[in-house]
Formats: sequence, structure tokens, C-alpha cells
Amino acid sequence: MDDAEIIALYWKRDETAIEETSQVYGAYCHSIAEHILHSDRDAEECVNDTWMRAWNAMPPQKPNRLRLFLGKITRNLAFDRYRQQRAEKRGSGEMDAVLEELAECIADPEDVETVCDQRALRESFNDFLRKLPQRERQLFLRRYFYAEPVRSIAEAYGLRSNHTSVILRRTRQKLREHLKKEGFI
Amino acid sequence: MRPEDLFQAIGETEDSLLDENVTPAGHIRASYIVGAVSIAACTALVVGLAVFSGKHPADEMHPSVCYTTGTAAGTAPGSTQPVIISRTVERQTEAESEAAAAPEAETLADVPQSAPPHDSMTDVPTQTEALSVQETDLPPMPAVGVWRSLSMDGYGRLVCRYYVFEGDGNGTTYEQEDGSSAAFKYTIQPDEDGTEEMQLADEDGQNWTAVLSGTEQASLTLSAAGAEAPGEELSFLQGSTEFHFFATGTLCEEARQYYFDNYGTVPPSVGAVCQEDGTVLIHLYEDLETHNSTWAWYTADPLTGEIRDTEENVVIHLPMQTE
Repeated sequence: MDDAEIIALYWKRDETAIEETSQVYGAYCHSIAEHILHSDRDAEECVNDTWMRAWNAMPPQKPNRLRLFLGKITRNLAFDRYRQQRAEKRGSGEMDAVLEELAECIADPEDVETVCDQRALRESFNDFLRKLPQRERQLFLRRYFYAEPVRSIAEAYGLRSNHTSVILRRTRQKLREHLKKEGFI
Repeated sequence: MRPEDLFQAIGETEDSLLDENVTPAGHIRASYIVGAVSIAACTALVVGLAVFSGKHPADEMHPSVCYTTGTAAGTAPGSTQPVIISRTVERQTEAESEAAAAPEAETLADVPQSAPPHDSMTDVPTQTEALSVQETDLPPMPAVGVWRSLSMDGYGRLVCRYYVFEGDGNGTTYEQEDGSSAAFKYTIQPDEDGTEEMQLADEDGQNWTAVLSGTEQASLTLSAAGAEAPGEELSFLQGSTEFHFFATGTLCEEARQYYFDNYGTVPPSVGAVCQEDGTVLIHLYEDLETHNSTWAWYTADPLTGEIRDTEENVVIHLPMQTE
């Protein structure tokens, strides 16, 4: 079943929409949540929450790319759950590493006073991504959008882990310079 | 700002940027998996249409001028200079490597009109000889010199890299895609059976082994000590450790520049794949969402920098002169 047909089921309030969504995008969403949460059970709960959010969102929404629509919901839910776990001192390794790496891109990771304009930051970040060569962009998003381990990214691109880490580090440096130039840090 | 804020901003990445990306589905995988067979078929179709209409394929398919820079696959640090490797370079520190790396590729739309033009299509030389691959006399094993490795990545794409064995137990690998390098160390000694083996350790701490005795001098197989990484087939290129190559990103930029200089429009997207003979197939195209519309196919020799029109089999662009 393709995206249009699945979305049509949501709009008809047909509950098989969730079953179809799960069949087509279950593994994809699960992998996103798993990377962030490092727990199969938590990831599964997160994915179920995703289907619920999708059910509530459609209608009125009619996403152009259902896969990314669901992926972003899963990522947000998983990240919320991660933060809750971290507050309870139950954080997980990969996500901690991802945030540590991102901390290199900003001036003061502990700065909770400065309220940044999330919308402006989002737009600026998209501009930054557009200017990156495709492979750098792909590596960056695999690491910082999907929180994928460096080793598996390296394997997918036929690179050595060390080489992948170097590319990511250089991209983070570029991002830092970009954010500085744009006045975010 | 906190890292969490940045992570959340990344979570709002535009769909168009994400869609090209990452998960083993969608545009990227499809465009690579299609492979050379489809490439030839598509080219034939496009050229056929063009011949029928009497126009250049690009004119036929894309009459509008597209000055968007687009996203260039493999246009990582692209310069028009080849990657020069020799004994005198020796080990590069990371800072030196970065300094040597070219600045970000220039936006083609910003190329000044006064820039010296490349040869026009009417001036194209008509050499038809095969693309050159530097081969010299085979050295005794263990072979000092340059070896080329072709291996598959997780998407079934060929990845090309070069191994330079210095002869003193040190070596360096260079990635064809972006010219980046990583050092390794190797030793050669007989194993328990008296078979000569090479042990190679890279910077990741991964260990690789190649059995040397009884193997052909022109090839060897590096096998990872761990089970995860596949083995790499290395073929001998040349006995000297001094050689140069053009990274894929550079070749892609050259191809786009050539197209711009000759047709006045900038191909919005460029993709490139390594082929089994070590050449790089370059695809200039436009993503029309439902399909990719081809502007041109070129084949580039990374060792000489020659770019050849795949359909016409003529050299369309020679590498820029280096000192």
C-alpha cells in the first residue's frame, strides 16, 4: 500500500491505517527510537505513541512524505523520553555522545539563560545543510538526526570509523562557525 | 543555547534534505542501485530523443536556465588540483591535511564570465583510446608502491581507495571520493606454517591480514581480523609511491564547470559512482521528484583527470595543468 492510500485510510478514520503504517514504517520508526533510547521496549512504546499521534494528526494534516512525517514524530517522542530518563539518571550511551558532540558547536553548553529563537535556528540550520556537500550532509544527518552510531555509518559508506569521525568533526566545526556568523553563539 | 536546542533544531530538518538521505530507501539508494545498465539505457533514450528532435539532450530536456547550485553528490572538498602523493609528503598532520584541502567548491553561478573557457564541443579531440590506468612492472612481494582497492559499501556501491606502501612499514590510504587520507602500519612475517603474511593495522585500531605467499603479485586480499568488515581486494597500480589522482568531488565539479561553460546552464545535481575499472561515472541530472532527468553522463579517469563523454566516447575535458 502506498502513502496516498494509507493517508486516505486515516482520513476515512479507518483503523487499519495504523496496521498498514506499522507494516510499512514500523521498522524505520523503531530504528530511530532505538538509536535514541537504546532500549527495545522503550522504542516499541515510542513507536506505538507515534501511531497515536499520527492518528490524531490526520486529518487535518496530509503529509507529502509520510515516512519523514512519522520519522520526525518518533524522533521528538523518543527525545522527550530520553530527556525524562536522563533527568532520572537513566540516560543511554549513544545519545549522550551525540549531545556531547553537538555541544562542541555551541559556545556554552550549560547556558540555559539565553533563549534562542528556535524557528530562526531551524532556518539557519537548514541553510547550513543546503551548503554542505551531499555526502557530508548525509553523514551529519545520520549521526545527528538519527543518532546512528559512527561505526554503522562508516560501514554504510565504506569508510573507516576514524575517517567518518574526522568528517563529522570538520562538519561540526563548520556548523559552529556558521552559528557564530549568524549570531546564535 | 544548549545541545538539546540544537538537536531539536536538527529534528526540524527540511524534508527535501532528509529525503535524499540516510535510511536505506529513497532517492539515493535508487539512483545508485540503478547502476550502469540502466544508465546506458537512459542515456540511449535521452540521446535518441535528442537525435530525433535535432537538439542537444540537455537543451531538449531542460530549456530553462537553472542557476541554483543544487546539491552535488561527491563534491566534497573539490579543487581543480589533483591530490599529489609522494614520498616527500610523508605523514601529514591533520592540520596540514586541512590546509592542503581545497576551499569549498565555488558556486558555479558565481563563475565570472571572463573565466577562460574550456574547449567547446566543436573543438573536442577525438581520441578513442581506452582510459589510461598506470601500470608498471610488477615489484617483488611485498610490493612497495600504490595499490588500488575496490570494495562494496552497504548500499552495493563500489568504493575506491588507494593504498600506498612505503616499504618501511608505514603506509597511507587515500579515499577516491574526497582525497582524505589515513595512515597505517604494516609488518610482514611468516606465520606458524611458514606462510608469509602481512599484518596491517589502521588508525581505528582495526587489524587486517593478507597472505602473500602464493598470491599473484598483481593482487592481494586484505581481510579484517574482526568479522564485521569485508575483505578488500587490492590490485597493483605502480611501483613508485609518487602518484596523483583527482578526487571524485573534484571531477564532479570539473564536469559541472564544463557543462556550464559549454551550455550556459548549471546542472542542478551531480552524482558519481566508482566503476570496476577504477573510473568514475558522473551523472549530471535534475531531480524532478517523480524521476531524475538526465543532462549528461561522463566517465572520468581519476588518475589522469580526463573526462570523457560516455555516449560519444570522446575526451571532452582535460585536467587543468598543475605546476
